[in-house]
Amino acid sequence: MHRLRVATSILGLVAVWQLIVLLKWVPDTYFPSPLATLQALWAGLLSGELSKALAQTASRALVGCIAATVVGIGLALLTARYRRLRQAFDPVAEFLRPLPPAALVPMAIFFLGLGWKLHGFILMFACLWPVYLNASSALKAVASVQLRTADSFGYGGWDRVLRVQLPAALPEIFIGIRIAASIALIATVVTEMLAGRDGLGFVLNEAAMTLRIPDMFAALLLTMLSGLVLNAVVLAVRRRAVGWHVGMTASNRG
Amino acid sequence: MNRFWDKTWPALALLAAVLVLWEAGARMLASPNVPPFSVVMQALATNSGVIAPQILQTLRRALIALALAIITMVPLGILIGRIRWLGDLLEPIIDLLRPLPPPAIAPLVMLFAGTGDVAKITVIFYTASFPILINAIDGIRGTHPLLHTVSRSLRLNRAEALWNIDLPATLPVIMTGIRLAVAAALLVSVTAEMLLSTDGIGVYLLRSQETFRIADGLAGICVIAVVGWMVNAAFLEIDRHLLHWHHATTSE
Repeated sequence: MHRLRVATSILGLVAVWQLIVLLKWVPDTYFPSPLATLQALWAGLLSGELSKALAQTASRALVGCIAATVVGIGLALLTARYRRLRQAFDPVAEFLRPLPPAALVPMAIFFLGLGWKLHGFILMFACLWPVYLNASSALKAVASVQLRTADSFGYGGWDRVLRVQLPAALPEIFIGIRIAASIALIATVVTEMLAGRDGLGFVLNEAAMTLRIPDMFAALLLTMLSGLVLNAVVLAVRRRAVGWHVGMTASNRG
Repeated sequence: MNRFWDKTWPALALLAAVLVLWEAGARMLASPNVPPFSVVMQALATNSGVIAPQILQTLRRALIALALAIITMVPLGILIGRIRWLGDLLEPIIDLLRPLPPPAIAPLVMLFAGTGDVAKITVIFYTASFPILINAIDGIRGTHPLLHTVSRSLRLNRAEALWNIDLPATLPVIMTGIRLAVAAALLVSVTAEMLLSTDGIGVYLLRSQETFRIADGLAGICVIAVVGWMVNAAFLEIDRHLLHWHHATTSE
């Protein structure tokens, strides 16, 4: 039933799109029909332009997201273990978080060039904060009953952090990872648009600049699809890692 | 005061350590690519006349787009949350568009709206809309069923119930959405300026890059960080004032 509804509204969207093109509300050089977009998508995938760009963008976003997750959770565990470290690091994180990753691109090019180092730095900067801040506050918020139980079992120091706080905080940590995954795609595409030589962001920009509009729509469609896939991957990992929690609470809505 | 000091000294110590390392490291490298912290601060002082109007442009656009998003998306979210067929129709489309990176629509917007104010505000508006819309939908659906019974027994009509009961009950969730939207709007307004360049702090950064004025560019980044932090703090304060009754009942 749910799938039927989703299919209906997506069909409706495509129909409206086609109608706009048919009635020529906007010049069709700027707004290709759904069919023309699909043709451009198919041609781009076959010629390798779009498929190569997709592979580059997706692998960058995925690697960046995984790296930021590992570093972010590691940092959060450290600051959960050492209170002074958290007091030192949290204000710095709160201050750096609102800084737009795109703003760093022009200056970072001087230090890091245009290659993978630039992408790595921007992605790490963009994705680290949501993972770290969610993990840190989740580790801090573990119920005191659980902590006192751990104490009475003689868990102290790292044992307490890793065997009690980490499992209890895992569901909330995944919220941060999901946010980081969507930001990873945004940061990758933006970096490619601003400083790229390849990837979906670059293709998107280039197609727009050279007025190959169906190609631009195809790249846009592909970017959207990779966002959907990335989100689905994180949800699947979450189900495997913290399925027990999803079953316990009703809040398993996508 | 002592407790405050006890909590803040580690952060100040870390900050001081980073700045000292930066200054000493840059002076030892002595490379034109890595200006020391003191040079960046000098650049900030000499360029403040250039940076200030640019960041105000950026803020102006972000706030206009944010206001538009709040005015349109809160009512739309309430409608989608309350009217079943509208939700069935529009929610899959929202879920579909949500993962699309907002800056990616900049080239598309450029075709229709050029590179002026309208284009940039459109991109920021698009970005800020999603958190507000989604939180408004979830908020109105999550209102306690008991409130419905109350409004019925008070014989309120639909509009009165919406204004006096549903809206205040949903406001905490909507405010969370607005706070997320503020952060997103600031991030994207700088990005949009860099992609659709005419003016604003994003353009200032690009110009600094093109002319190899690294210290000036780093000064601009410092300004963005401070302004972003202040705007977020301001909205947190608004939230606290507007919802003091909510925080008073939940923080206990």
